[in-house]
Amino acid sequence: MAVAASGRTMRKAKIQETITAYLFVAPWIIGFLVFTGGPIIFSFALSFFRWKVINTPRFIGFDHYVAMFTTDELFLHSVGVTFKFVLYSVVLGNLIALSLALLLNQRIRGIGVWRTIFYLPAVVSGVAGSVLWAWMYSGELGIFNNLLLAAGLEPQAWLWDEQLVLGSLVAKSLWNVGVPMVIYMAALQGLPQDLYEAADLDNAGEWTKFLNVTLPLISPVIFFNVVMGIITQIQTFAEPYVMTRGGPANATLFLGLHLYENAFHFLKMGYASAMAWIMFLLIFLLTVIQFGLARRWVYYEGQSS
Amino acid sequence: MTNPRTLSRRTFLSLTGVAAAGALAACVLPETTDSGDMGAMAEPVTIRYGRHDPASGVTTTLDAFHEENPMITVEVEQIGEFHAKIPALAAAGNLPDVVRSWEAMALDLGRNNQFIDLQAHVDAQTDFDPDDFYPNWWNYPVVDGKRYGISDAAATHMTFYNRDLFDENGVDYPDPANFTWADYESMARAISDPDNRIWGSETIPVGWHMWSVKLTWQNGGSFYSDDYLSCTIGDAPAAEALQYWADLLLDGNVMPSPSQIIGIGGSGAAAELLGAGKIGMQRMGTWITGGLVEAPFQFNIAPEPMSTQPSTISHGAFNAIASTSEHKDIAWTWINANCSTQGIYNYCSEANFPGTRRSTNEIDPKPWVAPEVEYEVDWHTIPESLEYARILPGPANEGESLKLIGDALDLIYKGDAQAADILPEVAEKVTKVISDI
Repeated sequence: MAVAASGRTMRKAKIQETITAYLFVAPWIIGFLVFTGGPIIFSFALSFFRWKVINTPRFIGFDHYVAMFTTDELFLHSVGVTFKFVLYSVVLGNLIALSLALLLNQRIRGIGVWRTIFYLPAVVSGVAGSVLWAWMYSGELGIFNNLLLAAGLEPQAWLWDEQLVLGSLVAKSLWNVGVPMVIYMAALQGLPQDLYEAADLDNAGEWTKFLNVTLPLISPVIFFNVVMGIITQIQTFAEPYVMTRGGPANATLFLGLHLYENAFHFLKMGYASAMAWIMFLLIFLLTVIQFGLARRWVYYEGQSS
Repeated sequence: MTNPRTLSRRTFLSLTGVAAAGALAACVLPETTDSGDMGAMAEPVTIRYGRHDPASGVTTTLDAFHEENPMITVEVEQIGEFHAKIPALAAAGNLPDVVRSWEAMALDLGRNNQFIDLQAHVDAQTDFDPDDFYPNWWNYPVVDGKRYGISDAAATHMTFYNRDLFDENGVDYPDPANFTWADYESMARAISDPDNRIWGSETIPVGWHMWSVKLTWQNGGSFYSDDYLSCTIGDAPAAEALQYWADLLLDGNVMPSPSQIIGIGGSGAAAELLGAGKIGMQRMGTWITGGLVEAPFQFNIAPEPMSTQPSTISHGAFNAIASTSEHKDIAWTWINANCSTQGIYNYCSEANFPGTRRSTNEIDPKPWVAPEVEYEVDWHTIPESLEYARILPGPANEGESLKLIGDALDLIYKGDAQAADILPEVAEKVTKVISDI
């Protein structure tokens, strides 16, 4: 009898504990459902409707998805611009982040200050950073043109020349390598020293050690940074919105900006929703492909080769 | 024994639940009473007035209105990101009772039944004189016989010029009675000195499409047909005008070309060039007058140049009543006060614009005159321009239409395409967009 009563009490306590736990996480769950989950479902449904925001939605089936690849001349263009940007910014970004991490992994006086300086841009918001860089690229007052003039060279239309503008935005994106840099630094600091000692015994040089010891050991981190970089950069919006508005001649019309323009300037909310889902599918596919390719080059400790 | 000053987990959770429920309840919009009939108004009523600019412009009118109507409170809401938030508010059924809306937006919201037809209110208001308004402004917000707004102030684009640069180069000033594009070009060429980074004319950022619409009007063309159902930018008068501007832009001896402007202020700062004394003429809205008062040269004002007919942009807004408003009669009372001769004058005095009522522009001191300017300026040309100025076009799906036109203008203004070659095709695409109502 006493055992049964004790069991009931324990069950009751466990139920109460479970309820309490759910109550505590309820604000987050409600927030997610209302502000994230709900809009996700709503946008999927909306992608099958023609809705100008100020009128009544009308069901049109897959028309938006078809139009994206048949009548919208700028959709594939914006995908191309985005992919080109992603390619340059992710590759260069990771090279620079890794290089900085190697440099900042040295035991020298004041290294903490340097680490802070190189990480600082990562805490600046995308809009603030974009405004700052737009000033730096400014024709008359910008630091880059003033440096060119000081060197006796012609000033450049960094943000108004079709040939230069995408490169200008890639350069701005490289300013924000603080986060991957810190992740690389953490990885470098966790590397087992015995492998380097073994390499020293084999008279391996620094470059050989980097290629044959460091890179394989941090390959999971490189993979992580590349995957996260691609996911982030495909959604780039603040830079083209603030700095170029997609111009000149749509040279920086990123997918995210094209989506925004359709949603909030053209009020084609259904079409923009369809575009958002295609963007999601692109990111998803690229991520799946990367996981497939990762088996060939990412090394995990304890994994049989 | 429980300490009375500490809460048990159960009590804490119960209180949290009650607090959360209370907070949610507080978020629910309070029910408003529909006064409907002004005469039966038994309790104070508050209406919302949404506009893109600060409330200071209507403070004087508001104070007088509240004194005269103690039972009505008009709460002014300044709405940032106007182009995106107004449709969002409309979608949520939460538009302010009265919305001061830009030109195309007023028509679009009207077409989609977000605003009510004001004509019945106008007709019932015996002291309301529609003939007092400039015809362009009065007739604009009417679609299929329904009136979707009443205008207040308006700023027109004029030619502002640096008299000192004209004098230094021995160039005659523009003739306000007959100023043509041929005059404009010859004056600009005479003033231009590219080696010293001085030009006769302002330039515009490539793709600033709304700037280009007035060029087409001045040449007898237009972007759209009068009913906004077809795009006419491919027609000869429009294409010729746009090509003419492109040729001047790329010439380099009339205005800074896109490459020349890099070192003198950047594309976005083109409007500052006149104030800096670097250009002779700037066609711009009258809001720049304030900036020129302090300029280190004497300025004057002339109409915009014309080819076949005088024309220019007139930019302002319309006061409309949301169809979701529960106080439409009261909302009209506010619009009637705000858009009265004195109401418009109060706003004009704050913004330094003329009004869209003729009677407003007869009141002294004239709001568009800068009293601190001691030399002679042809201020009279500003209100006169309202007689021929046209209001920015308001086709359906304007944003998408302007994107297509803007992309084409980018190519033309950079010399990558000829207007006559690409605009007919663009016009077809734009027609499809704007006729899809």
